[in-house]
Amino acid sequence: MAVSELKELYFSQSSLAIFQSCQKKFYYRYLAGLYWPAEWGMNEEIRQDLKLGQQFHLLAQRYYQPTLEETTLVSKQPLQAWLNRLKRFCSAVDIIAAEQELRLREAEFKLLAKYDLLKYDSSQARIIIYDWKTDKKDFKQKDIKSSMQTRFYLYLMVKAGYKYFAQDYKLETMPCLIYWNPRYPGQPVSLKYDKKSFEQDQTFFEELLKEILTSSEFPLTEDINKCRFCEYRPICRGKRSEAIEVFEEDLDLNLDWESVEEFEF
Amino acid sequence: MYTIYQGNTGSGKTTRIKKKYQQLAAEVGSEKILLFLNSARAVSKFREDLALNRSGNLSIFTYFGFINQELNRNWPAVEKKYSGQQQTIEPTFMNIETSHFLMSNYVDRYRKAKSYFLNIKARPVQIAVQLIDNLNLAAFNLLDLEELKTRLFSWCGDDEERQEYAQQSLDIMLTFRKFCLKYRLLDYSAAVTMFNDNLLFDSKYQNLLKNKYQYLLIDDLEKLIPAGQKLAIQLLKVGLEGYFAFNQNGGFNRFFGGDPAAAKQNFFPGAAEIIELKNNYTSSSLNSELAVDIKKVIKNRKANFITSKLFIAEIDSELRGEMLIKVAQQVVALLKKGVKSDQIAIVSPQIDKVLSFSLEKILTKNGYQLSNFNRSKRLIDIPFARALLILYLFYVDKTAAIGVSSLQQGLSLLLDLDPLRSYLLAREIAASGMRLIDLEQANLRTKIGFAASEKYDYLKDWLLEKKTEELAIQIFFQAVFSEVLAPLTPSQEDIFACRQMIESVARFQQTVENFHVSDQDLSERYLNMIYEGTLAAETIFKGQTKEPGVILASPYKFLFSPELKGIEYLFILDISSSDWLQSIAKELVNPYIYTEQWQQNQAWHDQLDQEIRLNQLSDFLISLIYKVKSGIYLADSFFNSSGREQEGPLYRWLNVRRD
Repeated sequence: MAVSELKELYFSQSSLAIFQSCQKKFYYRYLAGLYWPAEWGMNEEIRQDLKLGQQFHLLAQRYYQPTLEETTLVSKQPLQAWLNRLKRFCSAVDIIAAEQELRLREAEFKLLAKYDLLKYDSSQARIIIYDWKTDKKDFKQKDIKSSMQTRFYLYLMVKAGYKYFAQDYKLETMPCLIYWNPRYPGQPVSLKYDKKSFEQDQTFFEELLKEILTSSEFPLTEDINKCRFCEYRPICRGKRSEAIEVFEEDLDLNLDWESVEEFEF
Repeated sequence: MYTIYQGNTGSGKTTRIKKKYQQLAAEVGSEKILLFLNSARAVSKFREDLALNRSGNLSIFTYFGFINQELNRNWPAVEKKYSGQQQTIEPTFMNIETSHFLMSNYVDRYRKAKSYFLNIKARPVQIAVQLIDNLNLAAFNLLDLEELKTRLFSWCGDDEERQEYAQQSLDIMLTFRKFCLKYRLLDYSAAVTMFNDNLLFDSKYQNLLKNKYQYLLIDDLEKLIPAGQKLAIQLLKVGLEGYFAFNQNGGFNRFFGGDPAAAKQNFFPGAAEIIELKNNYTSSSLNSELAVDIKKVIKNRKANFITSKLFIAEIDSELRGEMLIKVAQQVVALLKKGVKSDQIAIVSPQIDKVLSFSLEKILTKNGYQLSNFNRSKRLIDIPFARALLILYLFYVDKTAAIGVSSLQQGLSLLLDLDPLRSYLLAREIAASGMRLIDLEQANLRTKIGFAASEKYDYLKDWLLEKKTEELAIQIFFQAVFSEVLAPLTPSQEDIFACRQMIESVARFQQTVENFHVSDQDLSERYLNMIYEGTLAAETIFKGQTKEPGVILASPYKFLFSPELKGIEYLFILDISSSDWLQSIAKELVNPYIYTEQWQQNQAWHDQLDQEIRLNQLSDFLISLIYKVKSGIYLADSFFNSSGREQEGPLYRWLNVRRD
């Protein structure tokens, strides 16, 4: 994604997190369009893990969305085991949508999130957001509760999703967000949301977006440690990246014919 | 039930479709509306321009984007139907580069082993393009390989040599297709065929579509390929409500797969309503009158004095260079009067370097810019990308492909050397068999300067060190970029070019992992593709906004650029050039034989060839004319850039010279 002007940009949780981490990186990635495939610089093991993650997301999407035929995974471990665990953890009932995008367009800015799965919880009249993680770290090693993703996903669901889905669903209580990793099937993390958190997040995002939209310069972070794992290190610091942080939005490595200008119609 | 908005270019059809989309999305949600547009750029522009406060998934696709998504989602069912078992989780989609790579490998192999295409001078990649076109056109027209064979042979008539080439073409196409399907590698033609054979007519699949979508919207229905039309018909049959835009003069992509006649036949009789859009927002009644005149004159092929108030002036010269100067001066005069630069378009059937360079020079001198929509730079022409490649060729000892001039330019950049000194060094390196020489022994250290010598020594040592690591091509590219090129303060274009090289090789390897050839072969063929210009630099500029400038484009490029709505002034250049009437048929492919019309006549002769060329010309001109608000300049020269007399017939019909 690259746009010539900030006001045209749909802000995602990744773009906001990147801006907070390093403004120069935000500039390169979202304004200059210098985007590098996620698997670069990764060793074979990490590349294989990334591929597994992608395939798991595809299988989850096929499981929750009506398709013609179930995927057979004989001898495809660990995907087969992961998919079985997923089915046990979260059955395909009360589905609103899988791989659901949500866009909000305000006068000053535009926001976009892509949710792995949305379910309707009729007992509490709310939406439950599911997010699949497939990395080797378990949730205890992450500050997941106050992460940009958690705040952004919940905030946007209330701000835009509750109005967008209002026609089809009775929505009276705040949504909740469940993170789950098939490597750690017994350790889901469920995060509730309330009005106070929503208001705090509203202020937080509005201020952050105001800061971004009024920026004319995008300085490089002074924290050299962050640069060690940044794909732009060669340009900014003249050194190779030690490893590259992977963002969820990078995981779609498959060739998308919509993203290449080759054939008309 | 469906409605068709019918009108000429500029009558507001796309605006109607956009309004309808927004209205429906606000009512039922964006997920319920399936919208087809004719190019990836149109899709991306439509998404950007959407004015919806809240929206969900946007089902806005090109036809190919849609089948790409549907095959991926429903792959287990498709594969099971195709082979009775599931072998892969998802198919691998090939882009043009990888299909060309694979097909040209086969062409090369069959040429060497079996002397195929003996008297055809084209390179393997050029033949590969034609063979891929055959497969694509057959699939786009819903024809199977047996029918492709029949049509190819009937086109050859009694010509034995052509029959032989047709058989050879078929041998390779069949091998290619078999290989692709065996390893689940889908190029455009295989994807369209798989979709049509395994999904489109499946009642369960149709049910899925019915539950998913409520509305079907199509802009530029006349450009939709027959396979896309078939999909639209099925969607209507299962109950989707349709809103389509149709341009009766928009058939200029006819031989790239679009079929306006079939679209009219398929959709007009059953339409609930056909709304004629008579207003024109980019042109007036003058345009319609001129369009009618042009159509008549071209059809009758008679010299005629077409008069129109839209024709402002004729710029006529003996020599093309003079004509270009006059055109540029006229453009500058308009700009000085206050006409905005992006409201002036210069259109020629052949955008050559002389044309773009001459115009750019004069415009830049006067403080204006030229926006060349046909710029198709080879990646290798961008200095940083070239340097990246040259270093790799030294790394793998394949330096025979490097020319002295390429090396000189690479050294100039890498060592920060002036052209003369870098030439001296390049010449010495070439003389020693393209090996990195010892500066001391060659007595060059003082000649090129100590600073450059140090850089050269560093580079030489760096390459030697890397040779011990045996890096894969993309890792090597990354290392060069990080350790050698990045410190040279590259421009954004340079960074994009390197990124494109690294990304394309990474993607390429990802796709061709299934080709079962050694990594070394892949790298070598890939490098050849870059050198042959198969890999264009154009895609890397995606996402970057073009600087507003005077538009320079071929008719096709101009008409297929969704951002070009309408302009004040149009300059039509080189009107006596025969390039306005290019034939659609090549040695091994003829798009016409795959059309419905061929089915009726089954004969190819010069008269038909001429008629097709004329129809195409007429479509181009008429569509161009509808884009103009204030006036048209016609420009011509007696001789072309090579000094040859120009003999194309268009000037007689427009009669610029009044002779």
